[in-house]
Amino acid sequence: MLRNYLTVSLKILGRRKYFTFVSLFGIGFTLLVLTLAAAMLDHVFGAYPPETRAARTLSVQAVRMQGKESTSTGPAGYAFYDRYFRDLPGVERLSLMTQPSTVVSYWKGARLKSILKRTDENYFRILDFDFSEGGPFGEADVESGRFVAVINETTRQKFFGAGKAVGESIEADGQTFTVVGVVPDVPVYRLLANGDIYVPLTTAKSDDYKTKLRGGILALFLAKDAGSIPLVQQEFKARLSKVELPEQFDRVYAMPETPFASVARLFFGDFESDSASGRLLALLLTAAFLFMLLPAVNLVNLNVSRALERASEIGVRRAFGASARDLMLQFLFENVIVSVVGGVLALVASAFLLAALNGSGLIPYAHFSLNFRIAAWGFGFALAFGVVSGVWPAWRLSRLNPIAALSGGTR
Amino acid sequence: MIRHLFKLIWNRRRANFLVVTEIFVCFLVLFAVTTFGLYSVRNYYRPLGFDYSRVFSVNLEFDQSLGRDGRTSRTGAAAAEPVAENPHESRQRALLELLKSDPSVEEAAWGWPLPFSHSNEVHSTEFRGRDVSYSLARVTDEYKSVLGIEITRGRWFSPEDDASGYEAYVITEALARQAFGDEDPVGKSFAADRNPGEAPPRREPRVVGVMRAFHQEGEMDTEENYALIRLDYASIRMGRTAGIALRMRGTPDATVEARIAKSLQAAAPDWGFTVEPMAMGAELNRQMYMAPIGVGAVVAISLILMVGLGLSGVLWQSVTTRIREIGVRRALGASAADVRHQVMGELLVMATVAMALGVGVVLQFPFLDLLGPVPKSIFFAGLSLTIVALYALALLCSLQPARLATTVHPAEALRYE
Repeated sequence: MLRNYLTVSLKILGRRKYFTFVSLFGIGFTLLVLTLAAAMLDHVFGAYPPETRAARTLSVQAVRMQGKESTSTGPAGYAFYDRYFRDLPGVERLSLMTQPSTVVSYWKGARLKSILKRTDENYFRILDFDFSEGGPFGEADVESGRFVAVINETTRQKFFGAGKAVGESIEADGQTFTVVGVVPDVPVYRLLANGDIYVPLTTAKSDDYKTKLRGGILALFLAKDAGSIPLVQQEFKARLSKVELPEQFDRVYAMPETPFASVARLFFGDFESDSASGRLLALLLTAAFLFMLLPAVNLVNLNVSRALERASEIGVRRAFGASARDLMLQFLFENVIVSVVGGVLALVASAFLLAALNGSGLIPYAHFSLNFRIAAWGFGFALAFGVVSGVWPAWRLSRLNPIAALSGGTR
Repeated sequence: MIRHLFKLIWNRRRANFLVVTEIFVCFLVLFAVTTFGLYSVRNYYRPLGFDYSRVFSVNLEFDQSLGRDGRTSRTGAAAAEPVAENPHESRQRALLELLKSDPSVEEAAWGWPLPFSHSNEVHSTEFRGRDVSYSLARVTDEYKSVLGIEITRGRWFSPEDDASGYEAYVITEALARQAFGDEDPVGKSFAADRNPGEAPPRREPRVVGVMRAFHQEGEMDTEENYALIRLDYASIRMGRTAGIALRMRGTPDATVEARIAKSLQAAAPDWGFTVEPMAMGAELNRQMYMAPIGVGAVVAISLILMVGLGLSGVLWQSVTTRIREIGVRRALGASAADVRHQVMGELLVMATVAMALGVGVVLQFPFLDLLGPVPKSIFFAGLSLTIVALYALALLCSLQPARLATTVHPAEALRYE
């Protein structure tokens, strides 16, 4: 029976070219925008290399300290993690890193801008960089504050052209580093892994950071396995109460979690509960639904106005005993099919647009592509759009009085 | 005629309800887009308030917490007292002298936040019984010549403000208007209202001059209320000031920039320095504002194109459905123009109904004071433009179906079954 519906709906698509074009343009455009948005969010928050252990990686991007009169929200300081959160049960490794900062190098008369991250040896054990040359810096390098650097492909290109980089020196932020490894470019929207130059934390210009409870440091926790994440979070929460706060504060909130949860927490400014990520997802889906509204009304309008085209078919089917409910399901199914066709067109178009966006250089190192997850989202949007825009016309059509319609009824 | 059209529309109210809904939603989208577009255009052409060509910004990184943060400050009772003076004074003076001695530097000033730094400090206070909120930067006396700030009333900071017992402010015309109304603010106190029994501020804020404007983040920055506050080298505030603005001679290149960065680094090895032409920050901000506007415009245009195509499809369909009605009208002597006017008139009437609803909704914004920074004039200009554009769209959509309706031959139409 579904095959019959399919045949009918495709026949109808071929029947009147203008309407087919208008419908597919509307559906395709709507789903294109939604698919592009889903693709971008997936690339920002999903698991992509070098974050191959994303399922058991947790990060703390910001902490909130609260007192009677003042509140401070932002990255914690080195001492915060160093004093209280080393050897957390269930954690295999902890890595601390500075927020990425923009630094300038003056190289052979040119000005080169790079993103610098100061971090430790565990960073390269939690993230799985695929070194194209050399390797990471190790514990000894960090301990003794050696001026060594891991750079990405583009930085190697900018400094050394086609030549080898390992063993050479680069200048950045007024300091000179020896290159020990080269890693592939990581897109700038990958908050945890991106960077042009990675150097040991201990090369900072002053040691002030070591005693600071607030400012500039992000933490990466690698749990032993995905199952121990709740334990890590629980233990982290328990240890928060041991933190000796500066005196203007009496409470502190933070949580090791996924990047999406961190962003949601900051977006809503909600540090006390853990419901922010659910709310952000709900907000995004609501926005997607609102965006569908105008195109849906447009399609409903078009479909309702075409009711008469189907009058003879409806008459015949009713005469042979089809119920209004059967007809309604048929028309709904047809609309979903058309939406899915539009969704496929949108997926094809979005592949081209994402490739164009990658090539344009608007977003540094952008590497957007389609995958099954994104295609599934696109398919979900197509289904939702098909149902939202199909229910009303299907109901109207199924209740059409064929005799009145055939004789040109106007209501 | 109009009454008749209303009757015809009412007779097909089920189908027409959807058309009206669609135009209504389209009205809201179009209104948001035009208003935002007009607002952006207006912002772009306002005076910026300063000149950033040939200006470098130097961002510094050093310990600004002055021992007040972390555990170090908790070792003794005395350490809890904030440090009252600037521990970096001599170094800050020396760095500025060093920069001024560079042959390609014309003038140098300390200040924070600098233009295009994406940091801002906002003060929200009650002043003379009204809420006043403004962004501010704290700067030294050379700032005016570095950035070419235009003073419209009063004067710029000068050494006479030293040890004067007040804190000198230069505020924008917009802030002066909001805080002082028609009164001349020069020489007046800008101290926030105090609760009874509350101690007066240690140094009274006083307006010494008014500048044309100051849009810190560039042309598209919507903040109109801005204040520059004079920095005193000895003050604790100065100890947290992490920016230097440099006016350069000629057109400086990367080698000059490198020389400056190097000499600063050599003079203060434990501090961090980033030198950057302000024009780069300005360009980046422009892109950051333009990218979402560009994406929004493409999406909005596609939405409206979609609605246009859809409406003309619906109308076309309704013309085919009502072919007998048209035939009867033609047979009774209606001219082709009459029929055309009917088809177009119906859509225009529906557009009017939808827009009346839409105007009713959006008018709530100024009434409920929800406009935010958008001025009323922009709001109403956007509204008028939307109405005109939507009528044009309706007219355009009805052209082809209306032409189609006139090609119907009465005899054929009546025979149609």
